[in-house]
Amino acid sequence: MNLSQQRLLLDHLDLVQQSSKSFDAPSEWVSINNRGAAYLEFLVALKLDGQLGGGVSLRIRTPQNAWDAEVYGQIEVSHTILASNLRIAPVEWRPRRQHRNTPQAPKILASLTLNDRYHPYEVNRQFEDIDIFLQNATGIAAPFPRAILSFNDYIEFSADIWKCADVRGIPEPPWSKELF
Amino acid sequence: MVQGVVLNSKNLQKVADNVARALSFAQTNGTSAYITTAVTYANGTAVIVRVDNSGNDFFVTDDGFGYQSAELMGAENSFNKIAPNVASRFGVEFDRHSFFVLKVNEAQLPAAVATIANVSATAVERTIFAIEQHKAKQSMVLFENKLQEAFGDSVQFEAKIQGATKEWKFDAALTTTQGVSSIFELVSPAYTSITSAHMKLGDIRHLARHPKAIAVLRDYDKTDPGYRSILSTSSDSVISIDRDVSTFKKVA
Repeated sequence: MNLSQQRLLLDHLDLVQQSSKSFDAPSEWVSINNRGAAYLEFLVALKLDGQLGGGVSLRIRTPQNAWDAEVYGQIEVSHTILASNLRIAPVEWRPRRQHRNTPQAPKILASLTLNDRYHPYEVNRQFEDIDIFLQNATGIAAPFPRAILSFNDYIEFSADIWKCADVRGIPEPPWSKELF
Repeated sequence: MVQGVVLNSKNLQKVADNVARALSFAQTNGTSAYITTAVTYANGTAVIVRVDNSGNDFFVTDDGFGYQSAELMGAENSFNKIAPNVASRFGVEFDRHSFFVLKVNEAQLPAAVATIANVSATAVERTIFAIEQHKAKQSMVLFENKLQEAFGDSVQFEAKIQGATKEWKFDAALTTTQGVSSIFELVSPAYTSITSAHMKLGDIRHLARHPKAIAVLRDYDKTDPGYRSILSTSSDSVISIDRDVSTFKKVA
C-alpha cells in the first residue's frame, strides 16, 4: 500500500467515523464454531448517512458460553486492496485479556493497563498511522466513562460511540450457560 | 462416502413403483379425469391435465392452470401473447386461456397428456423469462434517463475503463476534463450480476487513484442483504435505481 492509498483510507475512516450510521438490513445473532471455538456473532452492513457503500459493517462477538462478559464490538471497513479489515472504535466489555497502552499515548492514558475499555477514534487517529486501524500497531484504549453493568448498558454506550442508534435494538446474545 | 442400503431387486422394484405412483396419479369426477403429472410449473406445483371422455374419444386440456399460474404473477397479458406460439410449436391448440387437444383415442392418451403438461409448463416458464427481459430493459432505460438528466453529455454509456488488472466495460462512466471521475454499473439481484459487478468494480478500486465506483441496484430490496454488503466493499456507493436524480449527482 503506498502513501497515497493510505491517505485515502484514512480520509475514508474519517468519513465513516463522522457519519450517522444505520443498519442496511435486519440482522441476528448467529452461532459460529471454528476449530472448536464456539462463539456468537452479530454482523450487519452499515449505511453512512442513509447510504450503503464503502464496505462498512458492525461486528460484535462473544463466546457462546460467556455470560454478561467478553463482548467485543467494532466498526469494520473492508476494502478490496486490503487483506484484512480496518477496525474503528472497538468497545470491549469484560474482555478476557488486558490491554496495555504504549508510553506514546496521551499523558492521561500512557502506559495504562485496562480491562473494560474502548479505543477512542480521535485519540488513535492523531498518529496518522493506518497500521493502528489494521491492528499491526498498538492502539490507544481508554476506560469506560461510566460503569457498564449489563449488555443493555453496553449497547447504549456503544450506540453513542459508533453513532448508530440501531445498535440499541440489538437483543442480548443467546449465551448458553455451562455447568462446570 | 455415503453407503447406501442394498435392496434386493424385488424391494427396489417396489420402491421404484411407489415413486412412480407418487409422481403421477389420477382422480376421476364424473366424465372427467384429473391426472397429476410429474411435470411441474416454475413455482413447483405439479401440472394437472384434465381428460374428458366422449364416446370412444378423449379431450385433453390443462384446464387453464397455466394461465392461472401466470395470472398469480400478474403476467396474464404476457401469457396470452406467448401461449399461441408455444401451442403451435407443440402442435396443440390454445383458446380461452387453455391448451387442449380436441380428440385422441385411448392409445394416444399418454402422449397427449404428456404434451399438454409440457406445453402448459413451458408457456409459464417463457412468460417468466419474458417478464424478466422486460424488467431488465425497463431498468436500463430508467438508468440511462436518470444519468442523462443528472450529467448530460458528460456521461458515456458502455464505457471501456482500464482497471488495475484489465480493461472492463461498464454501463456508464462520467468524465470531466481530468478524465473518468465516476463509474456506474447497473446490477440485478442475480448472483452472476453481483459477482460480475463486484469483480469489475473491485479491480477499479485497486487503482492507486480510482474513479468513484457506484453500484446501481435494479431492485434494492430483492437484492440479498449479504450480496449488498459484499458489493459495498467494492463500491463507494450502492444505491437503488429508484433514487432521484439528486442522489445520482450526490454520489458521483
